[in-house]
Amino acid sequence: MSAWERWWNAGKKLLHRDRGTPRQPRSGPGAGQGSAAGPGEKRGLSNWVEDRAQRVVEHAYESHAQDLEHRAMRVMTSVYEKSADDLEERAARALRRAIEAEAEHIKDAIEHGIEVKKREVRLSLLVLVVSSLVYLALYWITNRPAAP
Amino acid sequence: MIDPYTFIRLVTVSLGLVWTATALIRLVRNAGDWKEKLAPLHLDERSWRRWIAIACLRATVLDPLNLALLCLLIALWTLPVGG
Repeated sequence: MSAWERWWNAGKKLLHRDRGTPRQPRSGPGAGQGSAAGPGEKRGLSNWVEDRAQRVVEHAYESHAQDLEHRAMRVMTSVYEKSADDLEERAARALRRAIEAEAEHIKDAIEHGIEVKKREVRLSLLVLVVSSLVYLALYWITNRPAAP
Repeated sequence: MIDPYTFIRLVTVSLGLVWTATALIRLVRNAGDWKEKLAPLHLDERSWRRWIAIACLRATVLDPLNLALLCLLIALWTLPVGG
């Protein structure tokens, strides 16, 4: 196709567009592409911009993903270590408290048992002493010397 | 014929011996129970017997009132009266 025919076709297209469709305002990414840019061309341009933006974002993400991963790993590791130390300390404290409480409970139970045994022994001895005294008194009464 | 006071003394001594025997039996039984309860502490036999002996002493002669009653009972039983 010669240069003249190309110009001719472009003029006809421009004429048909001016007659058939309302004139679009010259704004947006397709404004500088010449007067022959149609809706399909605008869509292609927006696709191109979209692809370009996606590529830029992907490139930026890939370039920073490793660094972000390392930083996140460091942060999570430090947080985990702090949490682990805190948990370990809390667990040791809880275990120590439980052992102390159990030892105190055993000690109280032993002391209570000893007190009970003391009372039993005391009661038995008291019964024996009282019975011995009673019968000693009876013996003294029955065997006392006669009054002059 | 047996003297009444001697008879009563024999009865009280027998009663004391029976009570002592039953107390010892209960003590051995309770010590066995406690030994089972305290098995996780892995107490050795020597220290375990030592603790039992200390508990027995604390329940009897190491208690001032019980010691006084025991001394009084022995004094009453050794009075030179009767048969």
